Amino acid sequence: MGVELKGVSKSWGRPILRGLDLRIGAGELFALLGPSGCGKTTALRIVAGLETPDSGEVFVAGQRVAGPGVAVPTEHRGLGMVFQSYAVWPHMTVLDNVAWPLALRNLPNARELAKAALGRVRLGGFEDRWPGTLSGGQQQRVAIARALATRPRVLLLDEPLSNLDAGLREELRDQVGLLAREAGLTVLLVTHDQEEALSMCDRVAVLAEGAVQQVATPREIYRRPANRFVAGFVGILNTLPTAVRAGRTEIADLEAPGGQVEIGFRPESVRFATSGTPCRVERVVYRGAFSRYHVRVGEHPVIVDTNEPAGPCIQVVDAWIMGA
Amino acid sequence: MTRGILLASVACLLVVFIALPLSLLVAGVGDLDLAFAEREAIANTCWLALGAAVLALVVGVPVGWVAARRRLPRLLESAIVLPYAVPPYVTTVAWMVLANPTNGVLLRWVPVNVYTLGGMIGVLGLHLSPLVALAARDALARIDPALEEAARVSGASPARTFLRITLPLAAPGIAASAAFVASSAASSFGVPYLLSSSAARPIPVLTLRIFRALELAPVTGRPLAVALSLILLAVGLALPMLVRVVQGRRSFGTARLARPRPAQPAGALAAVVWAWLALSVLVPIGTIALTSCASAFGHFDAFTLEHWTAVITESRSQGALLRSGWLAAGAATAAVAVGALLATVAARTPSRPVSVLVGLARAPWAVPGSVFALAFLLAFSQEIRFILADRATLVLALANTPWILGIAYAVKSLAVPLDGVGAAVRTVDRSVEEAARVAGASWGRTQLAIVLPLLRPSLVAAWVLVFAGSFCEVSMSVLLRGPGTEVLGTRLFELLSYGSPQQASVLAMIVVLAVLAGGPVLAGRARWASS
Repeated sequence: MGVELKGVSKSWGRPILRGLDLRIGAGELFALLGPSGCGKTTALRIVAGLETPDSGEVFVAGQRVAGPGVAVPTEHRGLGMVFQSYAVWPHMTVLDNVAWPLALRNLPNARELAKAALGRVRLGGFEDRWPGTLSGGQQQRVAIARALATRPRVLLLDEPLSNLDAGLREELRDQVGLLAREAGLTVLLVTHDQEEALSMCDRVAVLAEGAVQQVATPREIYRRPANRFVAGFVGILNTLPTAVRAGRTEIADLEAPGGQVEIGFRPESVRFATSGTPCRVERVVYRGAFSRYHVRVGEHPVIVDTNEPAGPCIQVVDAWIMGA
Repeated sequence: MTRGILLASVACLLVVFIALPLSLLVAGVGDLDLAFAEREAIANTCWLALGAAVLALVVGVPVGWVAARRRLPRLLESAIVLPYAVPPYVTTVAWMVLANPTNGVLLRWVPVNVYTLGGMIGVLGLHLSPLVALAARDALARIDPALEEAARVSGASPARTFLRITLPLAAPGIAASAAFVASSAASSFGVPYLLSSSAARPIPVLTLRIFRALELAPVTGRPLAVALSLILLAVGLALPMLVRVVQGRRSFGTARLARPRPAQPAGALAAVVWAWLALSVLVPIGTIALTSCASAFGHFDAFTLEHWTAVITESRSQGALLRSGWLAAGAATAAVAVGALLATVAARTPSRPVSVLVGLARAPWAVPGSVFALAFLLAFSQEIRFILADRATLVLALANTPWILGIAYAVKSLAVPLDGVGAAVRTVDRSVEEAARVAGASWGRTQLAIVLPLLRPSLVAAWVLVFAGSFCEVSMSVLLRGPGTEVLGTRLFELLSYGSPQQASVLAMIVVLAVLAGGPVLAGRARWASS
């Protein structure tokens, strides 16, 4: 087991985390996804030992690091962490930034290891520069090299890419994922960016108001969200009420208990057709890779992303029965 | 754990050396009518405060405007603070040579007399004008140019834009600095002392009256001194309070954080800054330099080094110099240690007890030196015994020792490291410390390897400022020094009044050289700081 949280609670006046349970396997890339204020950063900082939980237990690589009577100090948890604000030490050169944590572990070849780590994030040649002379993206690469170099038991990523611009973000995202997998690290990523969570991680936990809403693979989170909150948070949500006949829904043909149900689906799971559910196109926005159609089915607004021209009806290809 | 013990000892020190004297001062208030009898001193102090503030505004705002809107040479830009850095009694020595009514050098051209209230206003107003100049520069430079451009585009002339947009936006900062100038002038001791003692008729101000009351009757004079002190505190607080009330909580969210360096060279406008600098420091320092080497006082035709050798070999001046050096170094070290600890704890783990301690530590800075020295006399002129658990007795016998001076210097300046280091701590992002903890460093190691180096520039700056202030200190020293504990400031005053003004000039030059030496240290930047 890479990281385990058992019933972790924390409150500052108001509750931040309400009995959080998470099990993250060794070598797994795991994301905590949620809006700001949902408690995801607090959870990460509790794993790091930068905050103490009010109750509950935390295990890192099988070792109990926080819980009743136990509080292993941060520096003895064997972690690596990348901060949103980079947190590169401004008074140390790039090389010293990466080498110092290694030296703290009494590794004799700290400088060579640090150089190699800088090479892996493509910062070879920057060893003697002061962090203040680097761009934001370069500083964050220093921070990533610093966190990876010590081969931590768990790599903690706290919104590591949100201070960077879009292009760089995508490039670094892939790079970090690759490096972590190569090294076989357990990764806990905290982010509010669903694209980041879905594209980087093996499993995602969606958090709201201090409680887990759903833990699943990215595909499942996106295609079969457990509730309305998750469905709305990870992408655009269309909903339609539909009648159930003979145990199957009229629209999308899903198995259902009977009577009337509400189904949910994504804009790209809809096709225009000559038969199916009649619709009326109100507005089209050309988006380059596809066109976004704002249509109405009866009174209900539906968003359709497709390359094909509009038609009189829609057919829903992939949908789920809406939960709460 | 260690942090708890450290904080507890700091709390004890602050209670004994700040809370105790100040509460004795307040408790000592008897008859305020004693002080109201000194109408002339009260009136003079008010005029001195107002006059100095007005003069500082008149000369400081133009200098600040030039510095904000035109690119000055780097050296000139950093020299703006110089008139404030040189102690005012040093420039007073020069004006006594230049503008005394009997044989002043300037008498050949203009009939000026520095031994007047106007003289005091002139010397103090110029000395304090950098505060206004720097405040005006920062306030003006931080106004987003788009605000002025929008006014111009909307049809306002440059003059109208300045009056309606620029000035109102900059006014809060400038007004606050002028109020600070007023209260500093009211609490000044050295300048009134020197100018009043040589005047045909004494020019009483409150600080002088406090000193005289204690000089004439060290014990029976205390009720009068305490009463005068309270009036002085009231005068010193009046203007800053007024400014605060008038402005209310108004602050404009338009400020830019960084002060950009202007692109347009100053050209002829640099002359404004040069002229002001010449009047407030360059001419006075030149005069002192010449006086310290002149064979005959007031005549600059024959020169000698005899005054320098006299001061350096003569035991009293030598002793005073050394004592001031040691005391200032000790006071600076103690103040920075205590101030930095408090500032770091207050910024990182704020709590009510800590903020009470910070308020207590900052209090002496707001109290005029003469008043704080009086409070120290009330508390420590007899020995104090602390009896712990019926057995151990701690005796605090400070009177007439150098210790009382050193402690007073350190306590009075605690606000300097508190503010300076406090500001630096707040610029260090927490995550920088947390990253070190995650990387495997303990709390102590993180403080030593990460926090201390990052704070070092601010620690050095605070140390230099406290050292310079204590090295030249005079208004507390005249009251707290014992027979054998002369310091630089008191020795200089003695030489000037009873001995040799030329030897006094030598000491004044030593002060100037010390100030100039501190400049590069303060201007130095950490080598990792990006341009």
